[in-house]
Amino acid sequence: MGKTKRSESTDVRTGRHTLPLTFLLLLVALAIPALASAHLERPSYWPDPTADTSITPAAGGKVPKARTLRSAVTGKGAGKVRVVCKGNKGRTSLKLAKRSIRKAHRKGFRLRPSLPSKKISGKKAKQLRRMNKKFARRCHSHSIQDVVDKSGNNDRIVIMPGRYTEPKSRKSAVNDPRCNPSLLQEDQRGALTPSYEYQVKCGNDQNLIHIAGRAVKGDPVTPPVADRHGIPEQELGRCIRCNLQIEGSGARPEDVILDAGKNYDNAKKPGARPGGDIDASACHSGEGVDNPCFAKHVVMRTDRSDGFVGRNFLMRGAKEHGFYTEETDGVLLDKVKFFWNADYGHLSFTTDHNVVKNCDGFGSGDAVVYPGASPQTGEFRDEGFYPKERYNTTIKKCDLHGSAMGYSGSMGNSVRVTKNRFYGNANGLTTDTLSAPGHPGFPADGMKIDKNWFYANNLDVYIDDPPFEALVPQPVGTGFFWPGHNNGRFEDNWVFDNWRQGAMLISIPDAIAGEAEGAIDPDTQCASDESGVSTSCDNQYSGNHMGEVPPGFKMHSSLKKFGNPTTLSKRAKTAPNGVDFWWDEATTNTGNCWFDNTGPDGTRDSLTADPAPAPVAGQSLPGFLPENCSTSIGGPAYGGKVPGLLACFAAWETKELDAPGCTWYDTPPKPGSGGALAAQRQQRRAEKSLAHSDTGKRIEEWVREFSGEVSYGPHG
Amino acid sequence: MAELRRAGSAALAGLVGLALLAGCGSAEPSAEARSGDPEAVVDISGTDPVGEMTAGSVASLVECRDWKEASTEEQLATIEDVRSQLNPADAGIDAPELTDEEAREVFDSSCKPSWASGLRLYKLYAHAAGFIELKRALDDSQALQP
Repeated sequence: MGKTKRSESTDVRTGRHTLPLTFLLLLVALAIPALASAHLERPSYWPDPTADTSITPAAGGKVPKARTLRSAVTGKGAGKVRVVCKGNKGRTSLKLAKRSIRKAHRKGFRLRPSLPSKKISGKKAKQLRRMNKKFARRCHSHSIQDVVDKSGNNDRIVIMPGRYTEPKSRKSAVNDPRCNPSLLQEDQRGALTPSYEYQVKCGNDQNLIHIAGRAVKGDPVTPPVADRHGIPEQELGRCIRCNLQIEGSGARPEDVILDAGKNYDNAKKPGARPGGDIDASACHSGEGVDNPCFAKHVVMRTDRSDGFVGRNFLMRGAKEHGFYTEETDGVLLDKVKFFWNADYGHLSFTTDHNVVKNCDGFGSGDAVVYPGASPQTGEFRDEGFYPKERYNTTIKKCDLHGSAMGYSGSMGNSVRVTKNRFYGNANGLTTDTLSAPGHPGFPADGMKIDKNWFYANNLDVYIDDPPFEALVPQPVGTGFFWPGHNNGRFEDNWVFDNWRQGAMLISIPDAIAGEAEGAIDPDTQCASDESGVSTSCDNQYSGNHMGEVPPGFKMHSSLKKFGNPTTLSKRAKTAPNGVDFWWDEATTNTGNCWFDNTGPDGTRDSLTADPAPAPVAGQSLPGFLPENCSTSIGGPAYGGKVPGLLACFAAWETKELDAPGCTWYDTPPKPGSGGALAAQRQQRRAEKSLAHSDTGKRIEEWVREFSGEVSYGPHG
Repeated sequence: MAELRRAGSAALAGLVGLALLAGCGSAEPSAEARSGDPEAVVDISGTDPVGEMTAGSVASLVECRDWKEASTEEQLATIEDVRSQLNPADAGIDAPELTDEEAREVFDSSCKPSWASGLRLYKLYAHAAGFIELKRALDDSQALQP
């Protein structure tokens, strides 16, 4: 897995483009953002956020609370407890449990790679051993899916230590003729997607483990209801598996491996790679049984499973996603891991009251976590449906690393991301406003990203022999960026050692049009009088420590996973970013501001930004990074920056992603080095020149014309 | 599976064929220059899109490696599959669509580097669509330059 890269741009570099714009583009060595990604699914609805009281206790309406493992032994509380194990009468699982508990007691273990190792107490070890002995006695199945199918509302499944490959699920046909094509939904255009009934009837077609929370009731509404608030009554069945809890009984999450992968060198090792040492590209060849790395597309999918709790296990080796939940009200994932899932480690879609915490993941070609199309519970919510403004999804205390991105999500409305550590990715976090059709909630708004660490996201996954294949282009060396978000808060984060940029913001001029309904905000934070430029307004960056290493930071081996470069060392106090903040200065965007942030020396003076920080704190001055939110607006520099976005983002002009004008796909030079300074100088010169060129002026004119009249300041 | 694939794609291909015969795909270009040469109309009825088919569509999984090995007809069928998933007709919201030519340009150029084989076409399409109006405006203004 060496670092080799071949460029095939020679023919493009010579003589193919003669237009002035193209010439200039080739000079631009920009630090440009990528847009995250998207996700394809059936027409989906945000679930009713009120509790379903048809069962007791009620399902949904809040984030479910996990029941203790001990209560699974006593059987106290609602629901039946079923146990899954390995070996005759659970002997293999019990042996594994005892070994793991002993190790956790004597040597300790790391819940997340960046945390210190922690031992469990003698008392806890004893309790765990005792509980596992009892679980082994009660175990009657080796198949999680079999036990899921037997489970009903409020039931619990305890999975004893071991690796679960679910042979029966693996044998289920992909594109099962029982469901395909008869249960595909078709829209007016003929696009086909599997219906909810498809997933219920052929649950293991794509998934190793499938959990259907509700009964199939009627046919899907065709065409889908435009207002996506609430699953239509016609197709919303009764709870049949709501409030289900699935939990590993080991000392640590890695003790229970739910595995959709195959051909490992040593499958027992939690971090083992599907396919062993074969090239990552080979893992993308062959379907079904012919694929050398992945047996199934998804490890665990929970559909309309209100009140679901998953705790203390690892999901590994999916051709697409580790965990996947859709149209669910109430999900808690705690102490879970997502390793080597080729697309997303975790994916939640149109899901409410959703929490993922104490998680860890790597090896995703897109992102470790993806909360997409989350409900519109922010400023411009439908107050009849969502009476209170609130965060509907929280990702917290996770290590998101070793992937193209730690986090991505299209239309991630009102998601809170807090106390996580993003490191060793190409790009730490991206959440975009793309794919509006099919991703209800345009434009995305209301995120809060606070108290996280974004560091050393410098992993070049755009090489010929990567550990996993990148599925989406990203700018290597980026801590965090918002393409198209509105009314976001980026606060009190530590952002350091990201060699391209710490945090960045751009506008998406995607010209979305539609009615004020569930699929689109009735209003946006942008002050344009048309919907043309309706993204990237009112975002505030404050209280962040840029280029400074937080107290208590400790080096850990996973930081350098897959050869990720870093300047961090044991005693480092500072670790500059390429540039701390980067903004495209989209001409008509208002209300974006950066205030009370500090640079490597702990003061404002050492901050770096493009555009540069203003000479005076607290003001928004033309040509500088705005600090006063109420007077912030973009400027003419946009004309100089947007050609780079076009060129690198979609190869519109250069015809070549790896063309000289685009530097996304290499780890940038180390900040402060001669190479880094030269690249920055070159970039600024090119941007300045473009901004004053005919092209730059044309872009600005277009933006003004496109976006209509703009009022100054947030909300017009 | 082959039968299913044919069944799933037949309706799609028929639709695509009609759309193409009616004027080069179903996307709406913003200028005449993008409307395509009538001579270049390709009949793709009966042609399957490339890539792994799951539940009636290749859009979720089709990658650059599939694209590079596809014939012109297969590429057009693939574009229509991806476009139909990203621009559903009944979502109550209209987002910009790429024309066949625009999609081909994006996929051809994005897929060119040797490391790009695993890039998913629908993700590339979504990226490009986010900026397509601006790109068209620039093209139009350049076309007007003396």
